[in-house]
Amino acid sequence: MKYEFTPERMKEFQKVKAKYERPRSALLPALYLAQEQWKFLSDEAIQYVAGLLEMPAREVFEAVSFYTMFRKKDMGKYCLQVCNNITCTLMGSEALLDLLHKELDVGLSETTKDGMFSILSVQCLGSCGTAPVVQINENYYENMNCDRLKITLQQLRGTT
Amino acid sequence: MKTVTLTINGQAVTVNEGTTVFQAAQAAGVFVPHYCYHPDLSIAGVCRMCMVEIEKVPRPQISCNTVATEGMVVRTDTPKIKDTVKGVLELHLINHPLDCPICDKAGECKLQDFYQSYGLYTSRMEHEKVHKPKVQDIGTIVLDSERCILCTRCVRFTDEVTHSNELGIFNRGDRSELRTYDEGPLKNDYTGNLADICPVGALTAKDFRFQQRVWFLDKTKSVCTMCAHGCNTAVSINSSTKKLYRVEPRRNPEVNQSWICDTGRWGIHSLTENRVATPLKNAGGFLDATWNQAFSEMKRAITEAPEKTLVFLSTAMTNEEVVDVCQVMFALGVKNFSWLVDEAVVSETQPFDGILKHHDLSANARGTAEILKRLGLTNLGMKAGIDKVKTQPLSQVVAVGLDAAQGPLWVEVAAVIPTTTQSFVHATNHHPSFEAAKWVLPNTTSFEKTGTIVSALARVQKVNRILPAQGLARDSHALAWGISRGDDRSVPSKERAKTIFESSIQSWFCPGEKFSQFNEMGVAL
Amino acid sequence: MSGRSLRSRSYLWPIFIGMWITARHLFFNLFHMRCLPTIQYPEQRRNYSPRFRGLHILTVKQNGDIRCTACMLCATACPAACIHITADEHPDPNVEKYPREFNIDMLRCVFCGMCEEACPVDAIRMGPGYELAGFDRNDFIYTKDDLVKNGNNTLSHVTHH
Repeated sequence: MKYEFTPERMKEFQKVKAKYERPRSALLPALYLAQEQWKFLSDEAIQYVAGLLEMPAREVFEAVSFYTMFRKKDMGKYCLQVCNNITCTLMGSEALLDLLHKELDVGLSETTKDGMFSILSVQCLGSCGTAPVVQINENYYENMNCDRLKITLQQLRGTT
Repeated sequence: MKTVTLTINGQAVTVNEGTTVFQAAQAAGVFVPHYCYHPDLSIAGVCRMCMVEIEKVPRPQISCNTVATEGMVVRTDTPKIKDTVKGVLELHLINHPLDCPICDKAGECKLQDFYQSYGLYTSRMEHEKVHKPKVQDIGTIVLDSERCILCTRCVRFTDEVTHSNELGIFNRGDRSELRTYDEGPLKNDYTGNLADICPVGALTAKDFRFQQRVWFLDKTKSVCTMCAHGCNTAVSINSSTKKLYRVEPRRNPEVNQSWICDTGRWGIHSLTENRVATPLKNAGGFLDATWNQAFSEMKRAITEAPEKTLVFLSTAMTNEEVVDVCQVMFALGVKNFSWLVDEAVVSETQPFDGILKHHDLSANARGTAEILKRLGLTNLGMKAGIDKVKTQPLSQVVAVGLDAAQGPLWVEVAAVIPTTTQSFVHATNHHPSFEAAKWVLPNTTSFEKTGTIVSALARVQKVNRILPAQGLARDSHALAWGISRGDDRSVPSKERAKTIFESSIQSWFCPGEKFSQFNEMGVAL
Repeated sequence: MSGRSLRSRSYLWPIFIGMWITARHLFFNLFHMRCLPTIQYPEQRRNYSPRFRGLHILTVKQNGDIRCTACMLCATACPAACIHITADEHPDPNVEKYPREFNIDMLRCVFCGMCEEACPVDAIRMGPGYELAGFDRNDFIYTKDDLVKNGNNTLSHVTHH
């Protein structure tokens, strides 16, 4: 598979790149686009972005490793991010994590064998009023409890 | 050039516009502690150790990235700065492992040194330190990520000097880890410099690993002779055991900045590997012989037929040695001289990789050529020289002053020498092409002799003796002396070199320079 | 001869006095053996203080590995330059360095204890032994094995973090 932006993404990238004096200033937007396209930033993706921005691959990877939201490996179809900060913990997020570990049989930052789910323990999602919160891909699932989480998992499986 | 005048610790100092406060302090002789600043790398400003107090500025500023302006008043010795530096040092040491007993950097470690000068506090770290991978083999260097203080000197080196971009600092916070990007070995030719610039023991040379404690070593200043660039070096030996441990670069902005290539750095092994130990006479196989026999045979052979003698002068000899050999041979009647060098690359004046390396692996081609001209002797050149060997019936061919790199050049000559011509080869290390030579005589390496050389950059530099001659090796001064006398009475080479320097080389190449106090940085031709 | 008495002229009397003094000591010691400073070595041995600087001991860790990390501080501190260490790579990266050779030339050693003071990891100690007679000069170069055995694999009970 040749690593290249789709034409739409390339257009988007060129638009961003034009805003800056030096191509390397468009690093983060370029990485967002890359993650959008390939779901995670593999070595080939990083080399491609480095080429586009005339930067050494090492420097691109320095930025990728800095931010936890840049996925460095395949996080499956649904990335289940459970908030572990104070409000969510007080409202029972640890039980949610235990449930996920048991149901899916994977550890933190790992992906299930069928490539469907991965579990992450993340920092505050900024929705403490509806704690506990689980973010699945880009969506917030608020006011979660074990039952609702079980149903959600079933729903997600069902939509494969 | 416009200048600015500022005051540092009460002392007025004038510097060019654009100079940083740190450099101004250096110019004023005030030492400011630092980790990430390096004179030959870009400014990073990440270590925060070079904090100074500037009047009218509320917070301490880093001096390495603050441009000096007219009338600035800077202080580096106030209680506030002392506290600041102590605090920054404490932060650097929080997760630093207690590795001093096993770390090679002990004795030259900037954390140790600055702790003694600016720290001396009681540690408040009661928690488990953050652990990272240790003892990672990345080729010629051993990486210990736990010891790294994230100064980024190595990252900038692989970016700006070698352009290989192999090292980077990944993740963030106290999980920041120094690593190679592709997790493989380093692939550039200047990896040894990483161990030099690293202020702590995170990057250490595998070659030197666990060999010696640095406080047992003494340094001697000299010049590398592994190629024509002539990088300035400081060679460390243990003076009691007379063993050579390492070669480090000496800073010379005109020649090699602060760098030396790996070939020059680790070429010390040719000092001991495969050395010619004694004079060898070929009588159906090489047999140990004496210098006395060698000298008497050589003198007899040359005086019998000087017009049928051709002398190949290795370009690895010092200027003084070349003069000595030429004068002696000319006095005996020899007129055929050629230099022994790879002529295809000898005219390269700039490094071919854009950094330091030259294709010419001999140190003194320029000097040799110039000396032959000054002495009024024709340099036949390799091609004409080899032709002469092939076609004219010569009695003997003498190759003087070869070192490890010239062995391969002898292959061309050895290929055409007729069996009626005998050859005398004076070399440091053995080479298969010497097998047909009549005599193989042990030469000294550049670690064992003193003299001047002229580099490809047209710079006269002095090589200093670091060790006594190994085995029965004699340098070209002793060879010339022995040939002229026909016997083996030894001659003090350094005095001979000094005499020749003062009588000819000094006036030709570097008027005003003294042999014993030769300019450490070298002089332009 | 001038007026000297018969007693002072004859040599037998001073001899008798000398022997009387000797006999007095002999009989006193015979009946008061406990006052003698002499002990019957090697059946009886003196007890020295725990700080006595005797033969060196190289300590070992709980798992039997030598504790020494070949930092060379003892060799540096030694005023007699009698410690010679060759360092080597330890297979465990958490240990990293250990001495492949650790020789002390006992004939040069002055038993000053500087090595014990210098060691940062309590690897070398001066033990209570003081008996090191031998027949050959070469036998006095104590190797790593000799030094570890000296302590009967003394475990260092100091705990580190």
